[in-house]
Amino acid sequence: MSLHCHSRRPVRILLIERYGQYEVVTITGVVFSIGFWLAGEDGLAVLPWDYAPNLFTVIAHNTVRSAHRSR
Amino acid sequence: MLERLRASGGPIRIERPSPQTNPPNAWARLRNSGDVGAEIVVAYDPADWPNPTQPDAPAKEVVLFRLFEHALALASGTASSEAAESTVSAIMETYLRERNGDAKRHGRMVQIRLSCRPGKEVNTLVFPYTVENPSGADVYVMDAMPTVDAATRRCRQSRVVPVIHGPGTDATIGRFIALLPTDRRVSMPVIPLARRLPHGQVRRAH
Repeated sequence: MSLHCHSRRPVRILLIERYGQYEVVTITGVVFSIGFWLAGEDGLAVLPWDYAPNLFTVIAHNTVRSAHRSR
Repeated sequence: MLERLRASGGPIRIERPSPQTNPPNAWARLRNSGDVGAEIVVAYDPADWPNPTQPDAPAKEVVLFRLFEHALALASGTASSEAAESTVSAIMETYLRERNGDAKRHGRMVQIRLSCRPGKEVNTLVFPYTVENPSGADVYVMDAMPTVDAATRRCRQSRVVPVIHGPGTDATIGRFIALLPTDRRVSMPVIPLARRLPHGQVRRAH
């Protein structure tokens, strides 16, 4: 599920179009989205991150493709 | 496959087998036998598949894919309408590999629930959100980005979020794997750090 947060008026914000290049665009809403992995999926390894508690590094055969997106 | 069928130029019609066969079967044939270029009839009923009389019966779309392959051979005059295709072609292997991979990847559909109440702190837009995991499985939700402190060279977590312009006039923000730029080859994507969210639990963050 993705969440739509619509403002009453269009909002102008600064967005990165490409690395190092900025462009002001008008947006009418915000879609909030979150990615996640399913615990126990084949080939998924979860390692504790050494630099902060309760955070993990997730590794899979194809880490990007194995991720789900809340939409 | 559909593009190849379209490019073949021959009319193809899918009909239910008539009369119905028992056990179920399906086939492709020329409407008028021996007349290459004539209409091809694919006799196929999706309700028949997978065939319950066969323990390892192929799924309905696999059956249809095979029929389309045979229809292509008929359209090009490289197959006989009487000869059944018994081998697995390269394109069929590719299709099965992609299909099985997708099925494996999406075999367990898990939904998480998001709620967000956007606000403003001085000149900053803030997006406090709640993630709920109502599914029967634990998940690892993306939570922070790994960064390196420029001064100390130590790793630390960052709350920076990717922002995408789109879809349409919307902007997409959140915690996900940012798309790689298309105008250069980047060594590796930046994978967010994740936090375990057991099933039935809720996490509040911003």
